[in-house]
Amino acid sequence: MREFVTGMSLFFVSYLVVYSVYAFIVMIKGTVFLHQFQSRRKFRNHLHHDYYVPISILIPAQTEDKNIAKTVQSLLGLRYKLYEIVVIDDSLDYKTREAFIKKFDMKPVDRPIQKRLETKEVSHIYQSVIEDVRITLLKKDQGGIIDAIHAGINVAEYPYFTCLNPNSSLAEDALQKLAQPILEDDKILFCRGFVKVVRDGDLYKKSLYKKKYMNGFLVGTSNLENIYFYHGDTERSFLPQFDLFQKDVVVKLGGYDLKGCGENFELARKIEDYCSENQSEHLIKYAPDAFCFVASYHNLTTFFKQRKKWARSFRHLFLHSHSNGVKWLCSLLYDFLAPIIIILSGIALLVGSFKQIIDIYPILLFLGAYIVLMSAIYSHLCILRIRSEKMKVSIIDTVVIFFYSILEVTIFQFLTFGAKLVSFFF
Amino acid sequence: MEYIIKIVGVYMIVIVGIIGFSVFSTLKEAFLEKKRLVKKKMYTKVIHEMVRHFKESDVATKEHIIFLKKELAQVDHLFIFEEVMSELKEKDENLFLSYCHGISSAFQDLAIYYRRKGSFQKAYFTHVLSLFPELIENDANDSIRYAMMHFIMDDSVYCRENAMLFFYQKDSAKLVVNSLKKISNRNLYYSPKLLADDLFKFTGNQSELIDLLLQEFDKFNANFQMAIITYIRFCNEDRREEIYQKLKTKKYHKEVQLSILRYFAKHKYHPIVPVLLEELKDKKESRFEYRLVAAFALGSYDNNKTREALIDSLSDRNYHVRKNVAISLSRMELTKENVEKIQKIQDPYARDMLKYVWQQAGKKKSEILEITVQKGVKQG
Repeated sequence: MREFVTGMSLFFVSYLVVYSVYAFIVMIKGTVFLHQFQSRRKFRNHLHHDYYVPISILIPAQTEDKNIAKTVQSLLGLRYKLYEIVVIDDSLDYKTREAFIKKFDMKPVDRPIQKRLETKEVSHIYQSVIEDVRITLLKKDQGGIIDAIHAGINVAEYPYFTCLNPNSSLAEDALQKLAQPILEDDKILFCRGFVKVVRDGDLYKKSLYKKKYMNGFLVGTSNLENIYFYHGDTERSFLPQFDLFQKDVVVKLGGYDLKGCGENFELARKIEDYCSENQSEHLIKYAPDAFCFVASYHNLTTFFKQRKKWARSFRHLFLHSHSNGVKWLCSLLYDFLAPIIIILSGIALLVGSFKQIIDIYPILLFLGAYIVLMSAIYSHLCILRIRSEKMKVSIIDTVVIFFYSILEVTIFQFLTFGAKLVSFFF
Repeated sequence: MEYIIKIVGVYMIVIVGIIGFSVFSTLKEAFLEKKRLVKKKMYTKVIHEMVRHFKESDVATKEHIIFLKKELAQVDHLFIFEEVMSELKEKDENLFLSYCHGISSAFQDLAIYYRRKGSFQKAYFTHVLSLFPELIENDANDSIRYAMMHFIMDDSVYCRENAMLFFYQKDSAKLVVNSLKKISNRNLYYSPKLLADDLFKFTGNQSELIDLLLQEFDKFNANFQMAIITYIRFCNEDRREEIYQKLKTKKYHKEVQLSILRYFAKHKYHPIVPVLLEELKDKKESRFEYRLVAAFALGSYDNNKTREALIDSLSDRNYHVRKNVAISLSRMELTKENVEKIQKIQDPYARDMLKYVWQQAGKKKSEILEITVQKGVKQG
């Protein structure tokens, strides 16, 4: 018992120290990256063209997605020359669908579909053209998110696509910024933008672009996740993403993983595995100024459900991933086994404390310092990001961001671990 | 547990470091912003004084040239200079042009200086030149030309792009073509879309540019050749015979040949029809892209032979070929015989595609029904 408690305490402290060192290194890399990005933008190191590559925006919609019409309406105002919107009705209720059809004056068409990916039957297709943007609505038999996305890929006209959450909106120039790296280098297979979590009520506001920081959680996590991604660590990035994919490549790989949850990180991982297996020279690029806004969770239940879904999907990916070595070990310890390690460590510390096997106060002091350090890292990245968007950060902003970071490191992470743990059993 | 205390100590130092860095960055930014405003005021004053001087002489003073070379060697100052010049240009274009002419020697030296800088700085310097091409005279000496050529061969796509934008405004087709050849020879990636788009920014004689591009066509790589054909496609110049001759050689990359076929979709040229028909008939799987483009291009050549060939290709295995065939047929005046032939087609994929394309083309319901109803099959 004594050995177990002492060993577990030491392991727990080391575990957190290693993670904080890794986060610190990523913070340094992120600082350098964002500084370079800022310089590039300041010194006009970007391409400015009216025309980019044609893009299909796919939006899989299910029963609970009542805001689908608002989302599509907001997408009509994008500053981009050539794009289409494909909404895939997997299980929308009748009222929402009819309201959508009426709002966009959609007409039924007998459009043949090139079934490159297997999906459930598409029963009806509606189309309209508004402000030179074609909107397509596919009514299909219920088959889940992945089936819906695959149906959207089959119908998409353009060589590139991005898949959006029905409760999201894009910055006016999001597609422009996201597509730009593809013009720089023909080896780029996919490009990732930046997702900002905002309050539900703010989602479709024009002034959203100017909002300094997320009015909710994920102040630091999404910044950190995206920096992980940029440095090739796709295993660590599994928050909602805003990605642009080449349709032919995705079809060649068989689309999204049918056992996954239809999140872009799964597809990103598949593409990365494909590139490393085939020793392909293809690249993945990051466009940190291409913004997608996603509504924050209505309530804890929704948040919990989503995290469980991601945890299951991540486990599936992890078990079928081809990466090995240090990356694999980090994923095993810090994602796959994280909830179990935390629980066991917590139990060991409590037992050790009650039985006076260990002195709990240094460990509590360490935990406090760890929380402050991680909050400082998250805040720093958030402030850097805000500055990179040419917005000023006042002292009050810094204090608020730091406060949000503390909530994120404590309550948010606690809830995430809880969801991961529950996902093992339910 | 002593080591835990040490770790906490290290954490505290790192935390203080991060907070200190953030505070330092905030203060630095505020300081730099103030400094920038002061600098901008100073540049505006100095430049306006020099502009007044141009009423007596058309050359800037030696001191001013030295001042510019010293100040603008720092890219941050170049940034402020750009702002001041933009304001001057907006206020009085003539004065702006005189000033550019007067300080040209400073920028020629700066071009040589920036040649040795990093990609960021080079890209920005070329951006300033592309905004104000008057800063470097057309008859600049060899060392300047060499420096400018260096920019177009930089690894940074932004630097190359900005340098090319500068050349496009120099009205010299020869300069543009030579620059593009250099980029092509170095096999630096240049998106055909970007290149075709940029060629339209050439302010000189378009005809002369196209002549040179076609003359030197074989010296470019496939990406450049595609872009050149795309550019010519959207120009109002008749180059059909020259481009047709290129296709006849059959020596170009597949994508270049396809670009040429697309050219003839826009610019009608009857000698191309047999070529398009031959491509449409070639049913090899590896040639589907040729069939696809040929099907689309044939839509511009409405005669019985092409209509027959298109109708025969309605049942092509490839979805996109069927679609382009249907689109082309929808643009043609079908005869009674054509309609009867279509009605005999059993392939449901062909009929579905026709129906959809006819709907999209805004055809009447009766016309859609006519071509999609199978002869002898009753419609309910």
